[in-house]
Amino acid sequence: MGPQAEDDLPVVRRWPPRMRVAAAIGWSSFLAACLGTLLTFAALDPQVIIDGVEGGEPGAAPWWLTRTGIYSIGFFLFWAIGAVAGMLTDYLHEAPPSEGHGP
Amino acid sequence: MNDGTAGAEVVSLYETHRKVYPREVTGRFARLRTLAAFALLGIFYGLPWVQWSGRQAVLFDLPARKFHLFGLTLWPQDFLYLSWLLILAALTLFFVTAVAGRVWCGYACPQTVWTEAFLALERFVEGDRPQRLKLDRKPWTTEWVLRKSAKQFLWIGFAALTGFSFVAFFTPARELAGSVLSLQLGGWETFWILFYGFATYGNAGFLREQVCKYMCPYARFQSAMFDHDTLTVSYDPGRGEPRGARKRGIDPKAAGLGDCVDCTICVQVCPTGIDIRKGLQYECIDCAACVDACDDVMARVGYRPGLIRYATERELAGQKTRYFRPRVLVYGGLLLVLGIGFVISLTLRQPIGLDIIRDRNALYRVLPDGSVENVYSLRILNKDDQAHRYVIEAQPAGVFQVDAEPVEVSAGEVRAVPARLRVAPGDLARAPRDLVIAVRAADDPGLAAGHGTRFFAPELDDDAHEDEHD
Ligand code: SF4
Ligand code: SF4
Repeated sequence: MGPQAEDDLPVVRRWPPRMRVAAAIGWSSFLAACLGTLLTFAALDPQVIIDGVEGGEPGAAPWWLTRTGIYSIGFFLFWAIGAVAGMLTDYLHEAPPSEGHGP
Repeated sequence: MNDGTAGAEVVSLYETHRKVYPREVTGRFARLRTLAAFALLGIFYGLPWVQWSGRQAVLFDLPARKFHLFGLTLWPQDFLYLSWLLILAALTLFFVTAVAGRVWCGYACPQTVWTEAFLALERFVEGDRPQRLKLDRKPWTTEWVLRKSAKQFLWIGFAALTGFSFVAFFTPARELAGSVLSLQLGGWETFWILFYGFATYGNAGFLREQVCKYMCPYARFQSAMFDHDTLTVSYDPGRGEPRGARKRGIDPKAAGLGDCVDCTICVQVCPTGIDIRKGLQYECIDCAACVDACDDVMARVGYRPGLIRYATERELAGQKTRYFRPRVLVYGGLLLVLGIGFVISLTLRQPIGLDIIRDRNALYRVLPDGSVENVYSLRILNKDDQAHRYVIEAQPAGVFQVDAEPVEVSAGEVRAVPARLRVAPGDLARAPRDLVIAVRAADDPGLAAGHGTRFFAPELDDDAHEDEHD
């Protein structure tokens, strides 16, 4: 077990900055979406929405409109909103207004 | 921090796809890690199949909006307990981090555990590090294709099983297995099994330590919870430096060398690919793989173990570690108080909920015999696992006559029932304005809930008008 040849050493993988930002936005908005879904649906029973769509006619709602379905759609909606906020934050942070060079 | 200079940032996408080929390690911490991984994976895949008095022991029944945790059933109304539990979990993490650093990352984080499992499958199919390096040097040979396909097959199968097990925490596992076998899985269940399976594959097979480096908030926060007395995996530079290769059997002191033989084994075993000898880095997940590996090297060259070990900064500087310091005491104290409070309130929790609404149309009614009647509407929520018959009573007893039948409420149901309370003409003078209406389970007198409300009568209605508008 002597010293190893340099190219045998593990390469530390580094992501390019754009990828890091994308990963950070994706993950933090995911965590926020989990929290948002939890809080929203602890207070709101999606059955209300289903009843509204069915209008007193059980079975009238499409197959995907179940409680699980609404939780799922809600979750992805929160995720998307969080991601948009993250992207905007990144954009505003990366592209400051150029002073004195306005149109 | 090893955050990379501007030069290191400019790397081609190609290079970022070069893999870390961690060497496997044996030793006490490796055994502990394997044990922890087996225990946690066992819980994850096994728990959905455990039954408890006729139903799944742990089931977050989202479609039915109730959580079963062994003997306990929680409803959306019990949301407080859930948030309380989350706060307790976060505090525990703070406490453990302050005392022992990132043990969570090394032994219990799902990201670590599933990455370990995927690495184990990879090792099983492709062999150890040198064999894998050799295999990848000559791609597209028959052996390469066979081994890679076998690995993918195992990985995908394992990921699918993981997705199934995840969904089985939310949909009864037995039914779910039945519908998978008969190919009658519902749309959303299919979606979530695939989604979670895909996420497992991506996180444990592909992203691996990049999740820890670029995505995990805890990995960044934890440095704020660290201090000089926190246990972390550290290299003892005082003992190791100056490092260098040497001939067997020579006295390092005479050669002007420290104990590190510069074999780079500690770098090769590191799942995040860092060199612990450069000091504490945020990429280090405290997995102790390098501790085992270096102890092994030390044993071979005949030196003492512990060149890399769990140590505090203060200890490495030659001082004594202070275990009882304000940070630890505050986290620990909070944890204790909140934990005890949680247990007490959970034991005192009555699986019954009661809302009382006064009849809004009439404040009171005078009956032909002169007695006065108030009407209330009760909403009884049975949060228990079985049906109960509830008797409605009014306190103080003896004054109010309750005109309401006992109500049967099945498990988890809400029922609205009217309750009429009457006071005989002779009792009106001593009837208090404030009273408590209670519901009590007929089969279990300890199971009761009460709410304060008001009783109005003609002589007592001074402030009736203001109440009329609420
Ligand atoms: S494994 Fe130990 S001896 Fe080898 S390079 Fe690392 S610290 Fe030095
Ligand atoms: S430096 Fe050591 S403890 Fe830290 S991640 Fe690498 S192998 Fe694990």
